[in-house]
Amino acid sequence: MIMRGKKIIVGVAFAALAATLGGAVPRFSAAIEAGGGYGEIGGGFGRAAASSALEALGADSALRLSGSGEAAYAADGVATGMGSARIEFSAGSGGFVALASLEGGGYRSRTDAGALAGAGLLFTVNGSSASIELAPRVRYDSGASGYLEWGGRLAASVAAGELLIKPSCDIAWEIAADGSSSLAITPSIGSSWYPGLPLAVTMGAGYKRITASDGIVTEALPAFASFYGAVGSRIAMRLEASLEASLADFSLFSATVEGEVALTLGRCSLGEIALPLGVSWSLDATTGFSLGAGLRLSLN
Amino acid sequence: MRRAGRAWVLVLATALSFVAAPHLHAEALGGTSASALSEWFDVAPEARAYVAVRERVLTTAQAVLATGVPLGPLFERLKEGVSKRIPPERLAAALEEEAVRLGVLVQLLMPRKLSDGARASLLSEGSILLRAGTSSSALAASLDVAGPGEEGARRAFAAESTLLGLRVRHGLDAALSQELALALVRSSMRRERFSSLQGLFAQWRARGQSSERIARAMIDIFESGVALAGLERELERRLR
Repeated sequence: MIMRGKKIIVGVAFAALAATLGGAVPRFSAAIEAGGGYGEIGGGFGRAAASSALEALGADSALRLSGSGEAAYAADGVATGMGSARIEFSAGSGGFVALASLEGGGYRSRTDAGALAGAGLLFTVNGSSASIELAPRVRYDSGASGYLEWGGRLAASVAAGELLIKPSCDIAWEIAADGSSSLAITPSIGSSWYPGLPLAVTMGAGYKRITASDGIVTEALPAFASFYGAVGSRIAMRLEASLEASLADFSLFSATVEGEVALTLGRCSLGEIALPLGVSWSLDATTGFSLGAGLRLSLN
Repeated sequence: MRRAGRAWVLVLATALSFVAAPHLHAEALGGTSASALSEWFDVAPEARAYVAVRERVLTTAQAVLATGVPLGPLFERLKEGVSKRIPPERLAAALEEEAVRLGVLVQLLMPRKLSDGARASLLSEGSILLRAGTSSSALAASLDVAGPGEEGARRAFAAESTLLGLRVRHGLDAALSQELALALVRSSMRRERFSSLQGLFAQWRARGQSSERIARAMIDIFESGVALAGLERELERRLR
């Protein structure tokens, strides 16, 4: 009864906020996924995930509430999961958009657990051939290997034929849970290719320089590549990979590869149902290699 | 069926001849005349197998010319059909259907000042869209919101062509597809980049988003005046 009352209050509050956005009609979308698979660490596992978003779009402003959660239980008896909620408000005029966001949540991994909190601002200027954004942020992770991070990102996208060229620079000052601090500066360049087919390729690389409070400097090379495509009207696929290697000896600090092929089983006015088959690998010793399959229901 | 097709051509010819602009009645519009078509039947070796439908094709061509439709696109379709060895009766019927489509397109393009070459090329492009399932009302709506002249027409056709691909590949329903087509025509995105939507759509479908959600986000983003560079960024923010 109390829960129902809270839902009604949230609904009324959202409707009131939406009304201030010029009579915008809230729009809801959600996705639910359940499945299982086999992981190198933990053996067989079952997994459930859900996400939803409620948006109210006005003529020059928008309000968005979103949330997501995921839980998995492995055959070795370890449960992992995460949940987060986010609220953002944006307003703009012409090609300029300003956005403020707040988010919070928690996680439990095989080795750690903690609460997450974050806040950010985003200022974007969009032109006909280029877009530029400045995004200051603060993030907090209360876990044993957590941190408090103050940072910001300046990024641009420039259209050049079928390519988008994307230079960016990220600066982050991090205070780790053990009290040490570091400053990381990461200039990078990336590009997206949209060749006019149901295909998109994104890749990029950068240089990361981390200066710890004790004066030790670590230099790294972060890089990523993603491939997305559709075959026929029912199959969608993606392959995403990222790594960070030491510039001193090219040893890997981290690396992940994730691929998925999703078969759309059916569509209706309410949404669609798909069968995703996924494979992933991570250099992280607590994750390793895993294979999974499930059913995904997307509601509009 | 064939008789119905012929009747359509004649009805269309009669009806359109009253409304077609006088300057469109030149016999040589589209770079091909009725006599050139007749001559092609006489001299082209590949046309010999089609002598049985020669008169039927010429009647269709006369009807088309009478309505002010350039003969070029129809002639191209004829030559394409012959090169593919389509049976004569089937080809003649297909040309009659093409004549109806061209008549509809001429009506849609009539308010625009277009060179003969541009008109012929737009008619070919429009005919492909209609054959592939785009409705004439969708084309009319896109042309209504597009700018004037040839560039406006090309922009409208390019948007409909892009959305045709999205409908077929991603199961986008017709009403939402048309809403997105209109938002695309009105957007600040350059026409040459419209086809980028194929890749963007595939990307977000592969990331687990429904077609409707992607389309709605794109419509909202286009209506805020954003082009390709901003579109990718805004989709990342709204759909991730």
